[in-house]
Amino acid sequence: MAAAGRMARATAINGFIVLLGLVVSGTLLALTGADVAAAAEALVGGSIGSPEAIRQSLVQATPILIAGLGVSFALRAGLVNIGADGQLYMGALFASVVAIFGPQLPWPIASIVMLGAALVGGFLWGALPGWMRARLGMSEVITTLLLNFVAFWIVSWAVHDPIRDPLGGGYPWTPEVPDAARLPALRMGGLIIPSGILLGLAIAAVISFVLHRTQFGFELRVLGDSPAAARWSGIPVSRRIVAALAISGGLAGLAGAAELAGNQLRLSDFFSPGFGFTALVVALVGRATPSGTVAAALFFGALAAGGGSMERVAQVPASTGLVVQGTVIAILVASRSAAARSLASRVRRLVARPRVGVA
Amino acid sequence: MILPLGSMGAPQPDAPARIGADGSVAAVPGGSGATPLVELRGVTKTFGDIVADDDVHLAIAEGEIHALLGENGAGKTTLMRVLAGLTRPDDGDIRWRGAPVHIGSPADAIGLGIGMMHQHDMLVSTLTVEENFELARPRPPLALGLADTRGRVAALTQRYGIDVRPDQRVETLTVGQRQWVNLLRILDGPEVRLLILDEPTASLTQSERDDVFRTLRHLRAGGVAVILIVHKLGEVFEIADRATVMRAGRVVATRPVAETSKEELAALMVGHAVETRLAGATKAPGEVILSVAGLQTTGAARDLVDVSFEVRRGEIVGVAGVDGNGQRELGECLAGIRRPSAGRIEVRGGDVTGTTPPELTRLGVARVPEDRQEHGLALGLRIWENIHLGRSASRHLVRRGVVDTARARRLAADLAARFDVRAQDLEHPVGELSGGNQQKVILARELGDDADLVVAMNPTRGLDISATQFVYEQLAAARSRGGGVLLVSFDLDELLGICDRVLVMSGGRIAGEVSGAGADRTLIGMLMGGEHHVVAGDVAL
Ligand SMILES: Nc1ncnc2c1ncn2[C@@H]1O[C@H](COP(=O)(O)OP(=O)(O)O)[C@@H](O)[C@H]1O
Ligand SMILES: [Mg+2]
Repeated sequence: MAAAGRMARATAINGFIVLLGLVVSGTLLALTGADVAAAAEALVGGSIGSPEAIRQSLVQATPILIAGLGVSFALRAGLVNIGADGQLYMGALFASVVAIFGPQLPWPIASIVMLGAALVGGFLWGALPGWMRARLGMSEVITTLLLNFVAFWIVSWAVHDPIRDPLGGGYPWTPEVPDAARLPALRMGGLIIPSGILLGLAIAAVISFVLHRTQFGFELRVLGDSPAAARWSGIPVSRRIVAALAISGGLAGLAGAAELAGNQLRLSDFFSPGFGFTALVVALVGRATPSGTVAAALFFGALAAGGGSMERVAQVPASTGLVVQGTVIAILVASRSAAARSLASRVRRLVARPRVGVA
Repeated sequence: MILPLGSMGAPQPDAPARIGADGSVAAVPGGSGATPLVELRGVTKTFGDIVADDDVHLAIAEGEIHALLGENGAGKTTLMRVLAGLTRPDDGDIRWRGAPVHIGSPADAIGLGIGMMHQHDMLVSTLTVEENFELARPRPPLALGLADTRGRVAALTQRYGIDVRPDQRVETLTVGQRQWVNLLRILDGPEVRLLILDEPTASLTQSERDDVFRTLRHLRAGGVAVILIVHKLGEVFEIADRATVMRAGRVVATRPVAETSKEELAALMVGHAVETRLAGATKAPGEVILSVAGLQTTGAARDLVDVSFEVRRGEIVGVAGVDGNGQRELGECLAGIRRPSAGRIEVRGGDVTGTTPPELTRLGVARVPEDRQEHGLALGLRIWENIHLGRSASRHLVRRGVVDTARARRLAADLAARFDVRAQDLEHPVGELSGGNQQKVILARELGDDADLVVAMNPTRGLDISATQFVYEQLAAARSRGGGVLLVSFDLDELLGICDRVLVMSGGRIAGEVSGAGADRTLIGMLMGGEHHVVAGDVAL
């Protein structure tokens, strides 16, 4: 019951922060002389105003949700995975090789095999820094960050040469994923729901179960809270570190496959506009909980879709969406600072003055 | 009153104390007549519905060491924060040398000459000692003068005989050295007339503590008043002139130390009479339950050298020694988190050398780690989860990797009730509990399944009197149901009070053994100091 109350409060606070972020960015926009009303209309219209707008928002949310869940998972074990972008690229690489160049399988087997391949690619790309941390004591913050570049250049080389589409008009990209492997969109009561987002929601549910109901997840949370206590209670710390980063990477890899098979269809070296880094932001804003990560990913997905429409409709640069995003993050971070907490407690005290002197 | 053993550290001339070692207070002003240095009158402070301090009156005389006693939550820290300008009281006023003063900020307090050393140290670990001094002393921006600070710090450390370099990073210091930095930082400021120390001794070893006390006596001789918050009654009688006892936000009594007793102070603190000693073992010890033979380690801070001993059923065996003489390493070997390089550990005759913690739990070995917040608990996790921690091997709590959370919660609730964990419910993070309740959570987890062998390291460190008593009772209960207990402690009073036998460690070895009751403290002191060659023959059984 207490948990439900806390959740409701957190939702209310985050809603307020988002609103504040929108107001602040609106003010900034007004200062540049833009038509704020038109921009706001385009933002809302382009993100939730129509079934197509909603579909766009969900498509944008899918990779950052799935990769964000991966980042959150590692965070719960006390590990900071900055390498989601590279893991996403490796996942997409494995997925495209299997789907495009492997045996042509019927739907849905082709989809499942492709997702499995992506999982393996990301898993390996996450296990590597996990192993370096557990066995060699190297900080995963650095190794995951650097492995991003390695993954990117491997993919860049691959799409320029061995798996390049010969009919691709000279672009460094692969052929399209065959129909049988694509992730379809579902029609649900007037809405168009890309199946990738459903996959993301299902993963969120599974992670929630793993973290809170399984011994494995429990041990990861102990590790994240206190490595010394984990060691004292006999949790195999090294193995858990490798597993947590491998799973984290696997999910980021899966995000790559979902983006590939649900949106772009081709792998290129401009495949990710920084999904992995947005995923990190999503995980942090969502406080590394599955439900928080879902909420944050949906919000940032909507911002991305709405930002595009602002540019098209209201002639406001799409980067305005990034301004909103940045403002919201800044306010969120500030709202969690010690200064904000003491301010909040002061406000609470003013609102409810204790009855001094009553024995 | 028995004085504790002298420090083995650097010899220092004792300050010319004007109070006799027996604690007589004849020379101390502060009774009738003289104006107190500081006087709190009717101070009240509430936090929401909690009344932390309730109409408190307290007068401190110049040149006295005044002990402030009370259970956790009695309101001691809050009251002292009022004096230090860190907390604004709802009501009441303060007089300084008889004149009303307003202490609205730490700067006001420092201006008057009030310095406070906090319960939880406020040093920045990643900075050096001198940088921390710099932080404590506000000065105009751009007027950084580290060179000047370095000289002052060096002078202070030299004067008090502290082995700390000004450019040493705080994170490399021991607990005791950090404490010194805290203290010197206060003495570095404008002249201190009132020094407030909030539980400074909780994590110190005996010799470190002796050094601190020597300094306090020295300050007292110079007319400085000291308010000392402590939990150990022995320390009150050792150093204080007067003692004030608080309970539930109120002052219950102020007594000259010479006119009271441990029993009276303990009773005042908890509101009823308490047993300060445990009854000894009723039965003769039974079969051997723990046997350690020829234990050695390599690569530890203090390596074990050929450590051998036995613990039998129905006895509490203590391990005494100055901190850093191998007790931690011994505990870690027995807890299954350090692999010995040689030797053998047997529990009930079975070899458990180098085995894992879960296996030890399965064998009924309870482990109470030295640092409850670091090693014993995951502070951010819930209370019931912390009870579940390390128990997953037992009682079918986990099936195919899935935790039966309903069952784990029920079991935790059951244990929490048996071990008197005071919490609203078990869904709160364990870090929100008081230190005593945190220790009870660990005891509930470790001793709950009627553990056969208990390995406890400094289990009462920093606990108040009721919580300490509770821990003793639990150890005694383990003994009386036929288990064996190994108690590592830096507190000699504690060891001699509840142990049947005490092993003394020095330099990674077992230097000797004495029987618990009526043991000769001088002998133990010599053993601790590594004089086992001289006396071991007389004491080892
Ligand atoms: N900042 C605070 N906010 C709310 N409650 C507090 C705060 N500080 C202390 N308290 C409460 O006031 C009471 C007295 O606390 P404290 O002065 O720390 O006691 P002591 O130092 O004697 O253990 C306790 O019940 C404690 O929980
Ligand atoms: Mg306190």
